[in-house]
Amino acid sequence: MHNLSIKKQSEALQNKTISSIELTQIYLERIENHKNLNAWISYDSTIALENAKAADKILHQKKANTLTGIPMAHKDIFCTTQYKTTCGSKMLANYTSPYSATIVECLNNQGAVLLGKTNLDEFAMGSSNQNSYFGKVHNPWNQDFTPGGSSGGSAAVVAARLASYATGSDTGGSIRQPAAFCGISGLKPTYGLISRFGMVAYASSLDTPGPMAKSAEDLAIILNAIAGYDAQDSTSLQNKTSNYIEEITKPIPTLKIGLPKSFFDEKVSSEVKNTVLNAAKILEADGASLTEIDFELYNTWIACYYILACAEASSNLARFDGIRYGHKAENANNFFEYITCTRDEGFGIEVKRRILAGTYVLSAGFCDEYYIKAQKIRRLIQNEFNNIFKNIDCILGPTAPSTAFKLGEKLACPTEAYFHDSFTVAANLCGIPALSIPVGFSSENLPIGMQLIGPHFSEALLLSLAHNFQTKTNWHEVHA
Amino acid sequence: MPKISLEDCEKLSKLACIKIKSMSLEAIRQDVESIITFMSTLKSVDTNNVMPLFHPIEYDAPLREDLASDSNLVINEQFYISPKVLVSD
Repeated sequence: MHNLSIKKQSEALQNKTISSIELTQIYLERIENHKNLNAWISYDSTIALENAKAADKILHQKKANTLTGIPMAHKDIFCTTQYKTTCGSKMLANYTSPYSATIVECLNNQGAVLLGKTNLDEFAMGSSNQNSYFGKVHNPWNQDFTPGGSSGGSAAVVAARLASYATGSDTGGSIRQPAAFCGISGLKPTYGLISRFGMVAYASSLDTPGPMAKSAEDLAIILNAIAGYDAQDSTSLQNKTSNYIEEITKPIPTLKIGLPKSFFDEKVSSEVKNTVLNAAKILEADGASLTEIDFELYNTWIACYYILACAEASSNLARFDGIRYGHKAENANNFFEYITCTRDEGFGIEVKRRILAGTYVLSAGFCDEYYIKAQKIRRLIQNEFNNIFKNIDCILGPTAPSTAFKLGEKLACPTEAYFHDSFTVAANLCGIPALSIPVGFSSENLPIGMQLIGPHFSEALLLSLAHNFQTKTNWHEVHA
Repeated sequence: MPKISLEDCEKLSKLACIKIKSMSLEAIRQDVESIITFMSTLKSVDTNNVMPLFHPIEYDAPLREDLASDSNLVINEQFYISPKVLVSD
């Protein structure tokens, strides 16, 4: 039952083959048996079974929809009143929010069963889930490897079938890269399509909440429930959202798909390249035309992203001062020492690095040279994407340059890990949607992900293409 | 290549309100220098006459009337009673 799609689980719940309580118990047992992954920061069988009991009541009243009674997980960056919201940080280790995030409310309204909150890189800063105060997460396919990050816990619980689906957040690839490393499907939607209200901010102009699930069809079901305008998020968009389930079953028009040269250059693992090219041929055989494209500004993406992300992080994380939230330093001699010690003790090393780098690029004398310069280059990058989308429908390439790396690797040099985000950060800089789906395995039996990137509001197109691919392949059904 | 001195690093830690005592200042200096060096690769890009893009989707934020709109609002005589949001540890 835990391997079934959301649609099939929902059918089983609605035709009474199984109750939500029974389905939840299956997942709770699996969670207990997979504690070694360290994928959860918190879970509570009492809360989960209460949620399931309420869902069973809705199912009994025949008022259920597709997500009613389906057990799921939230990344521990979304505020929930039922659980602590730690952001993987000592700073918020004991923090419980007085309200829930809009995405949490949306899923609560659907009768979702919340199993718990998943582990992540501290404040979503990282690509390997090794930066969490609550310890590293192990990749379910091979526990010597990372699950990716920062939504590594969410990716691991879906891959190991410890939850039917999960939420994640994507600031520079934090949904897509762990989805690729763990062999699941993950969507970073258009900026503003899903409310950020109640999602603890890392870099506000880049942060995007999104779903992580077994298949594109599951992503479409979840997106239907969480997309839409929210007056509580001033950057939420009022555009009409589609019915993504209906959209993915419609016939796909003949598409022109661009393969960026830089996504297939010599720095990319040949296994990853060949597997993704083979997947592209499946779409080509289905009528799509493949064409090589070139991004002149590709070499600027990562530096541009890290300048802006660090600058916004240094500003956003200024709120953690020991006065309003979380950790409080003891034995400080004066007010300034109290704040500075609180922040030294509460933040981990990667968060401190990014705050200090962000402070540097925003400081007097350097702001124009770094921060404003990066914002100008961001416009040039977006212009380049807009021009490319005049001639092609979407972009295809590997989600990451390699498969998952070993735990302990890429920790010594902070910038080495940043290059792992090379193919994902541009979608955040431009606010465009992108998704990752599994397309095969390496010789080490580690999953390989393929990324599809489209223009603003092309979620329906990307999900259709991914769903069509998954009707012809079964990589999404293979589980850890 | 930008050089970050120990004094620069101390100034940054003061600006960021982070007392560097849990790790060596030299270690954090090296890390920050390598990040700033990596960020400096953008200098060669021509950005003359380019407007900064501060937000990925440029649009006018929706506005509403400046009226209290919370449906759970409790009014006691001339006062709005706000819900309790702060709880002590």
